[in-house]
Amino acid sequence: MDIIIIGSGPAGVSAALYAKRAGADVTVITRGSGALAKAEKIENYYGLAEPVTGAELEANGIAGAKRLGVSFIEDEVVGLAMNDDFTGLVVQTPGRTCEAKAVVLTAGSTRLAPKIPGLKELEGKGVSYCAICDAFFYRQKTVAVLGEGDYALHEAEILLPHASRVMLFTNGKEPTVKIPDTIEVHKDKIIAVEAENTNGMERVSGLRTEDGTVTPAQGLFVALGTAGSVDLARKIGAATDNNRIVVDGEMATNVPGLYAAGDCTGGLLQVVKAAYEGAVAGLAAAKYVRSRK
Amino acid sequence: MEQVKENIVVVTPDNFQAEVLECEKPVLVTFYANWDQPCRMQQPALDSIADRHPEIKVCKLDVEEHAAFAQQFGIMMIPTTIAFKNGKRVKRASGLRLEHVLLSMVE
Repeated sequence: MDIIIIGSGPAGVSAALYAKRAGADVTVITRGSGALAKAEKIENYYGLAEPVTGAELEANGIAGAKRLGVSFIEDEVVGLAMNDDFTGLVVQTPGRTCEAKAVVLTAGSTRLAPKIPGLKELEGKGVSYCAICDAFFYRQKTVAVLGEGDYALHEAEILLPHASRVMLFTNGKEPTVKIPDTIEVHKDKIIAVEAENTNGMERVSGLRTEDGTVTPAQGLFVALGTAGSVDLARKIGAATDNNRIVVDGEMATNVPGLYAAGDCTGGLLQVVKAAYEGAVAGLAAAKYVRSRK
Repeated sequence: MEQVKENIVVVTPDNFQAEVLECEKPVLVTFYANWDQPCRMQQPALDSIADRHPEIKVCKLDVEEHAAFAQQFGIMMIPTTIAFKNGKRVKRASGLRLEHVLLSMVE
C-alpha cells in the first residue's frame, strides 16, 4: 500500500481526498465515529446554508472519499512500527498487519490517563505506555496491563514471552474481548499505584484496589480503551509534547513517512483546522510516496 | 543508534566514573537499546546537541549490554536520559524528548 490513514474524521478524510487526487493508493483504517459524530449542530463551517449534525457531516465526508476510490477498512489499530529494513511503516490491527510507505495519524486526541495516584509520578519507574519498547525490563517479573479491550490484549501478548506473570486490570470495566487463560483478569478498580524505595530509587511495587488489597507487580502498562494517535506515535518514536504530536509545516513528524493531522496535533479542536491539516498531510504523504518510487 | 558520532561518548560501567561522574562539564547520558525505535528517533537530537553545544558532554549507555549497571539507575523505560552535574544526577526524563527539552535539563 502507498498510504494508510488512521481515522476517518475530517482530518483523515481530507488527507485521503488530497492524497488520492495526487495519485496515491489510499486506505483508511477506522474504528468508526469519532469526536465529530458527537457534535449536535455544526454551523460555523464554510459552505453550510443550514446547520448540520456532526454525524451527517462525517457521513458525507466518508461518502465523498469513497466516491473518489478511497478504501475504508473498519478495524482497530493496536500497533505502529517501522518494517525490518526501516523502509516503510507497519500498521497492526488485532487481525491483520498492513505495510505502507506512509501513514497519516488522524485518530483524534488522546483522553488523559485516569487520575490514579502514582500513575503519573511513576512513569519510567515501572509505569510504561509501550510494551514493545519496555518489555525487555520485565524479564521474569510480574506485570499488569491497565485496559479492557483489544489494545490492552495486544500489549499483554507482547509482554507474555518476557514476564513471568501478566495480569490485566480492567479498572472496574468488563473486558470487551476474550482474554486467553494465560492472562489473569482483575476487574477491581485501582485506587493507587504503590511504590517501594530501594537504594534511593522509587519503583512500582504493586496495585492497590478498592477492597484494600495490594497485588504485587513490578510494572504497569497503560493501554486503556483504544490506542489514540499519541499512543501510536510514542511506540514508533514520534516526538510528542504535552499529549500532542509534534509536526512541522507539512504535518510531518520526526519519523520518516509518518504524518499527523487534526486534534492529535493540538490547537483548535475544529473541523476547519482538521480539514486543513488533513489536506496538507495528504499532499505531503503523496509527495513522500512519489519520492520513494 | 548503531552509528555513534565521534563527539558522542559511549559509556560503560568501566568508564562511567571518569567520563560522567568526574566530568567538569554538564553531562547528558541517554540509556538506550539499538533495536528500539523511539531510541533510534532520539538520536538526531543527541547528535545536534553534541554538534552545537561543546559545553555539554553527550553520552550513551546500552541497556542491553549493561543491564545490571542500568538497573542501578532504575532504568525501566527507554530512552531515558539522565542529566549529571558535578557527578550528581540533577534531572531525569523517561521517553523520547525534543532537543530543547534535553538542553533544559542541564541549564
